[in-house]
Amino acid sequence: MDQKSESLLIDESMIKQLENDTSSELMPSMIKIFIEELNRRVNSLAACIEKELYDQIEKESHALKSSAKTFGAVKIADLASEIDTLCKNGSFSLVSEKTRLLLEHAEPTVTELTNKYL
Amino acid sequence: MYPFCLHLEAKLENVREIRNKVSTFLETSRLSDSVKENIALVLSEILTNIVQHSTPKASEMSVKVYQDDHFIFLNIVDNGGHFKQLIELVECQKRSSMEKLFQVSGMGLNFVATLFPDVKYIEETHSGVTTNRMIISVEKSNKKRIAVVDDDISMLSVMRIYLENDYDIETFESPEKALQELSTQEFDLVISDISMPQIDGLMLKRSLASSEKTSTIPFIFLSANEEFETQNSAVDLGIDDYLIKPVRKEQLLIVIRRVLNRSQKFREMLGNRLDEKITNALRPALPKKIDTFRIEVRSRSATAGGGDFIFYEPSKNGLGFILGDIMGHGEQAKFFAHAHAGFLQGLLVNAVSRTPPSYWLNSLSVAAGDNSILNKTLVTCLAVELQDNNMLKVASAGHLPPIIVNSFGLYEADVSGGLPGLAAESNYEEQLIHLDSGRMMLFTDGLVEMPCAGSPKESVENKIRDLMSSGIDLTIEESCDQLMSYIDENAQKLGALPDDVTLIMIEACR
Repeated sequence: MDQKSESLLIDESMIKQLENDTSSELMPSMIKIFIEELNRRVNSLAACIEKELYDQIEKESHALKSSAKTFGAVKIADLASEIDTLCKNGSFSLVSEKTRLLLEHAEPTVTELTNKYL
Repeated sequence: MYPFCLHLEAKLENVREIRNKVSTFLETSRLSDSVKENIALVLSEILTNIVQHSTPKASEMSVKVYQDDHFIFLNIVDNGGHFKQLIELVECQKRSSMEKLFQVSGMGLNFVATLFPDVKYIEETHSGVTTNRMIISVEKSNKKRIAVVDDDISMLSVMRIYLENDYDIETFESPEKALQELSTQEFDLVISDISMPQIDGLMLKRSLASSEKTSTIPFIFLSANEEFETQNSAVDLGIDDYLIKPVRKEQLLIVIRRVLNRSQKFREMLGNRLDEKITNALRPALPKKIDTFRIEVRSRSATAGGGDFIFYEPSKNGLGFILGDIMGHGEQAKFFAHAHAGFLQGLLVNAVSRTPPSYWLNSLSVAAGDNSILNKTLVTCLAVELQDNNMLKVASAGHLPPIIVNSFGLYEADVSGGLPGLAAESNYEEQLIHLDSGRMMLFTDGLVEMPCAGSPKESVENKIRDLMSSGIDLTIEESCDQLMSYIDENAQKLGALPDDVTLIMIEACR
């Protein structure tokens, strides 16, 4: 990934908003939980895409789009939202491509969250 | 909660049994986990002291737990010797003399008086038998208790932190576990995701609605699903609100307060029954001709209740009307339809000049948020103003969009807006519609969402749309009759009409 796309992985203002709504002391534990959840869903998506389990992909991406948005992981949230819509519309030919793109962005997202907030 | 009572021989092995049984009994009570733990600790301490240190030795001990509206009482009785030290401890605590408190200690009883300073310890004699009675009273939490259900643990962690200062929060990753707990424990509100494995949010709500114990617990969906169809299905289950993820803490707290407030007031009014006069007063009606427009109205009342209404006030507002639909069914919906129509009448009759549709909806939205009657339910509305040159101005508050049919086909008018009362500030937009040719149809969800006898649900809407399109060659009167014949036929097969049905067809006089 180039520098530009990396810079769009995390929206810091969203994380700041979450911190304002909760507390700075609790942020690291919440982000840890989110990273665990993100890893779990990403692993599930990776398994599902191989088996073309589109129902499951829709469920995972649907769940991921809201939690990722809550934690400022905007690139993951946008891709998850696209995958969710593609699955709902039955446009399965594009689902694989977008899911692989999401999987590619998961690790750098986790790295950025870890480096900045943990 | 029913009183708990256990009477056993004063032996150490019975201490554990009593403690476990009391702990299990208190699980369903509205006490925080730390208070429950303190009660269990104190109980163990007292009973162990009775067994090991009472002189003369106790042969029997009993424990009772009971409650009133504000307190839970723990009552421990034994027939052994009296603990004078404990009386002294209690007196010490009352004088806040901590130094002396610790000096007197030695029996492990000091923390009883520390944790529960209102403890009473008395010696009683009945029929020549002397017993000791200890009474501990614990104030119940006055916080409302909320169950949050979501299969995403990161969302649960955010929700817990958002809400735990203001409410007692129980989070459930598994909807099955949530159902189990909701059926045995008391909750004031459920907040649930929709998309979850095995039991989704819609199934959870249906299960709660089917049980007498849980059917009236207020329910909010918190979902990433923004599709109108899903939201409509959710609303039809009789929910209290629908929030889109991600949600800000401030917005969440406002909605929870509003829903809990509504719920409390709603319960106060549940005893009210509605008479036939209200139904008649709400029967939708419009003149067949307003200015240069021809209008046909058809309506059917639900088998029980239903909440459609048309508001039309010819004296001040001769060129406009409002079509409303109260969410939910039953007699309550009818009552609230009456309340909304009454509000609109007051608003428009007292207006000093003619006002546009957006003004009616903005005013209704403010009232739906603040008014002590209107804020108990949700309503969707379409406000229509009939203008010159075959023009109509339409604004929508969460209502199904009007359908326009002309020689080019059938399409939905681009009119949308949020539900009244859900946003702090509403600014409804008006859409100007030319009706030079064709006709516009306004309707409530009862028309397109009634179950189809013997066919999948979606085929009802398709059939209605087909009839709307094919009816273009008929007069609006004939087309309305054709549509209602289909509705009547379907309702007859179903054996009941589940919701009010209202259809308004408008065309310009040519």
